[in-house]
Amino acid sequence: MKKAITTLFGAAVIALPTGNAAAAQKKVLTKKFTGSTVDTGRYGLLRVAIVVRKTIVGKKVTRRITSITVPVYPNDTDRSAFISQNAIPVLIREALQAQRARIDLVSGATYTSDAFATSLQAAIVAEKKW
Amino acid sequence: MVSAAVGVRPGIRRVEHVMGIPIVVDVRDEDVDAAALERMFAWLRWVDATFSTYKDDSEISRLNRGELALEDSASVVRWVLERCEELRGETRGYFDVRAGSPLTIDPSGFVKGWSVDRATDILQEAGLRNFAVNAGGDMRLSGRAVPETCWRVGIQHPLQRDKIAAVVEGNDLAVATSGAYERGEHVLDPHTGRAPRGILSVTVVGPELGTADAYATAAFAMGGEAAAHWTARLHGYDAMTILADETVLTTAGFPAA
Repeated sequence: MKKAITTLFGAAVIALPTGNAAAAQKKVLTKKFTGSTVDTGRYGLLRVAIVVRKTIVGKKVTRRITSITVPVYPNDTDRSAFISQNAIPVLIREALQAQRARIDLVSGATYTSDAFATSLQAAIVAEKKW
Repeated sequence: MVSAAVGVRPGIRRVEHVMGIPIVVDVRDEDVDAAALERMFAWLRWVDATFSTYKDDSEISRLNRGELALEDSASVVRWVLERCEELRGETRGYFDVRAGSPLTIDPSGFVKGWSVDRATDILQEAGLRNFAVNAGGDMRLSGRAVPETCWRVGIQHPLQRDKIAAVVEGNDLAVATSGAYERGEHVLDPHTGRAPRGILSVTVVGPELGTADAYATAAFAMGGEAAAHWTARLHGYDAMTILADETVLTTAGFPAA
């Protein structure tokens, strides 16, 4: 019955900077991966591409998405152009932020973001084989 | 929705569009039996074919047109409708398969989560231990996000799309969020037919996704503080309610990180 009451904090997720201990042998590679083209239904097609930086220090391999772009996005009507201009930059920030704070999933998604997530997932699947 | 945490980790990930939403399965076990994933997606496609209100030949569509008698429908359809009726009672009528129209039934608010619960059973019976099944932002977690010790789920901030309102941590858990997001479907109060007031979102966590999803939908439809007070009396389920003024109310056991 007891309820904890708190006030919403602006950014609940605090990004913890990963301590990069300077190592002797370090190799850095970058590669671009393109996701599947997803039909968002009423808004048209959408495709996400990611650039991944792979850092190899000894036997330790870490991979990080350094950028997300949307080479194909819904723009065939005023409505979808509006959504593309406003939602997609937000989704990109969100995905990069989720990675920083290790969020495995997000609950409470939206229609356009579903297509974004699907294409992003496909890009990540490709990236994981690298 | 977005799962962008990359790094070295085991397992496989698959995405398929079923029931009009992307179903993402993220398995963190080694040596995954791919046939189990095939069975899981086949099950979800069967559920869609049987329960979809968008497919003319589904059992639900045929029931709604009066072409199929309830006693002639599949036993699983009857079981689902009985469970929906129980949920209507538990939620004082706020979860109602007749909310859209008194003449037709639409159990999809329960079916999506319930089908993910059974999908989880299929994977567990095949020996999978560490995985998540995400159905368009509502998910069932199992085990842990190997190599981490638990799963971390961000709860979408209802007003600021680039923010997370809270983070939930768990191992074996269902997480469902209902809110006034810009989605095609909108939750209405079935008693008034209007959008609920004073509320932005409700997240419910607990053992089963079908029930958690129905509770989240019902609580959101109640609106305002009534939603938070109702969730505080649930057994086995916890909730976080975000009010219109951005006050966050959580039940005592809500697993916020």
